[in-house]
Amino acid sequence: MPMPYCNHPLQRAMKRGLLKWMPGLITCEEFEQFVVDYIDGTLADNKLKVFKLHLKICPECRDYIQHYQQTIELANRAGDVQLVKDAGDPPADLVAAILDAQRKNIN
Amino acid sequence: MDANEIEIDRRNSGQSSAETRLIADLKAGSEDAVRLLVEKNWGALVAIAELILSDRHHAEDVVQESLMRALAKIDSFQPRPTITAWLKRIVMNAAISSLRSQNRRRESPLHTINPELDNGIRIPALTDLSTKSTEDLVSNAQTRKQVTDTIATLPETLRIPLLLRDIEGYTTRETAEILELTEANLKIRLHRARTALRQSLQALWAGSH
Repeated sequence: MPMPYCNHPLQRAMKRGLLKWMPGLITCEEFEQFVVDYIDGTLADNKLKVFKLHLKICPECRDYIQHYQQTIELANRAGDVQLVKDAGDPPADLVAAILDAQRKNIN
Repeated sequence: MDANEIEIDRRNSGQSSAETRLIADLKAGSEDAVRLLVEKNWGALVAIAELILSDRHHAEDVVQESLMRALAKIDSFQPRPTITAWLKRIVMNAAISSLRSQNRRRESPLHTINPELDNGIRIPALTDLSTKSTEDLVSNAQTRKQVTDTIATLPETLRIPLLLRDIEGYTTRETAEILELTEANLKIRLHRARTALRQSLQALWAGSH
């Protein structure tokens, strides 16, 4: 997955070159590699430092991380609401079948 | 179990007294308790099984069988942390196990990423929305449908990690254990799944650039 949102190829190349060679900075691709650990809260301190620095200087990655987090939130909320709403009623004879299975297990 | 035992057990487990009472009634074979439990949990259990199996009828079969097996033996178990969470875990395990045996027959195991499938994710058509807050987005029925449709089209190697981690809220470590994957492998799948979902929702944020 390349840089999340850079527009022009030349602009992308210049930005990548700058971020790659400046000490203490990471490229957008490297930033993306840290995203899952950042969301989990398990990013090591040294990586968290460069991750946050990149966020400060890269508006595209700020949008990217915001949308990434929003995607997770949407999956969490929409998945629960939509799917439970769509599920039908339980079969009429299920309760009797469970009780029957319980009785058989006891006897 | 008498009232004192129920109270001690409740304090030890952190369950509500209503929940503890329900479990006691289930263990005693109360028809009302079984009916209440089934009606309260059916929808959520079928939804989870369907997300794993991608088939409503198969999901309903797995849930029915899981409920029968779990409740037949409830006398020997103490459902924790809540009876709903306990049932969800049982249904998820049964659905994943059913999927694995189905895949074994097709010689396409769950733990193998199929590059062809992963690269060929079919993304549902973009909707033209420009709202930005998560509350706005989630309250929109069209967006919710798009999210669930996209999740349903993901290959199982991506769909199930996303379901367990982001919808069911298991930790990365727990999800890796359930799926018998390394954490590193799980993180790759999670990232791919989230990226596919984010791309399908790209139009939602179009107005912010």
